Amino acid sequence: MMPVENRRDVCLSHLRCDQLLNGELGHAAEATSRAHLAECVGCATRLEAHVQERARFAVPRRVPRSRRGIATAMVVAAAAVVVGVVVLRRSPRDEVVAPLGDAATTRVKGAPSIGFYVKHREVVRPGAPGEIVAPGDALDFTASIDHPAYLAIVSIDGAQVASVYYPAGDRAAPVAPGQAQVLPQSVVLDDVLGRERVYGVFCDRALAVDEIKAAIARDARPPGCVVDALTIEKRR
Amino acid sequence: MSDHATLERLYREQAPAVLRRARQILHDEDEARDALQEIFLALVDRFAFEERGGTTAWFYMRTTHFCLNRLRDGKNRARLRSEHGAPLPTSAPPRGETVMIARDVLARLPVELAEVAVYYYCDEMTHDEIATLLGCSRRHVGNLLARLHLEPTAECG
Repeated sequence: MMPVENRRDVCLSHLRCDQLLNGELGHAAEATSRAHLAECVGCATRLEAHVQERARFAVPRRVPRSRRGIATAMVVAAAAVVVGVVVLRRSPRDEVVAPLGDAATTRVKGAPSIGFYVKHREVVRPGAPGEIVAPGDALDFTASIDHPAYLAIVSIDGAQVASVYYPAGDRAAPVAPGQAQVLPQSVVLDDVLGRERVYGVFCDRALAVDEIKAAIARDARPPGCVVDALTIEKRR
Repeated sequence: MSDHATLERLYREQAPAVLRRARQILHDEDEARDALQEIFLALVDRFAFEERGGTTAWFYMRTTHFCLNRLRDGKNRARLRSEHGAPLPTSAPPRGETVMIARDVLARLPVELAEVAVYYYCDEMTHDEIATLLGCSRRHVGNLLARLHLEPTAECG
């Protein structure tokens, strides 16, 4: 058995695992770590535990309300009282998704949502709204929902072409209640660059994915479905 | 990328480790979650941080300092005195296990030793990694660990 101190010097600490997943190691350090992971079951298990920890993580970030935001809200409320009538108008896009910039803070608690992990050159990192990705990167999507439903994930890429990312079958796939559940298939990104919108369509029945794709392509919400969305930016 | 987007990215990348480590140090789910939120709220107020060893290392240090300070405040200390602590591990723990050091032990250790104890036992860092975080030599880390093993509290239980 390898002495404890020697093992500590070659095995991956928790810090090293997190740095690896966050893509912070230089090429040499990453290569060394990868080589070790290939032959050390203990470290591979530890890294996988970190990946799963991130996948299961579901604690929302507390966002402070800014003084400026409060002041603006008060002015708007006062103006509404003076006018006496408030007219709310929603665009077709608004019916499908919340604006990306507010998505993380304005999601209704308990509403279904999607997330993703990015695998770039063997390094896996959690994705965030506006994440910069590259052709060839693999995306692993997650789904969070508090009741059974059927899910399809559709993308509108930089060339405005709609694609189905999930599932591989003809109909929306069942998804069980749970937080940040990693879906059982990855998507490898193609060479089309630019801003890409990804829609998680949670439905009360197994709609045909072609029907879902067609609805999303024309900015409509499929009947009986709730839609969550996020954006990625594909660059070289 | 905007500050908002950067914060979101940092939260996704760093928050799981911040919470895991806060749980290990504080042994209290509510306090750990509070530490997580406080650390990120502080970033909103002052969106800049020194990166010694990289962003992840910075969050490791920030979490350690925050939690050790929590343990040291008078209110906690009074409560800790009445608690029974578990023994500090004296050898490398089994792989994949979550290791916790008794919080009363951490609260009583000198700051520098408590910090080293967390990095060494909880995070299983190498001497080099600890040296980078503390901004000191590898030799000094070895000396601190030797002192840690001499502490009566390190052998408690």
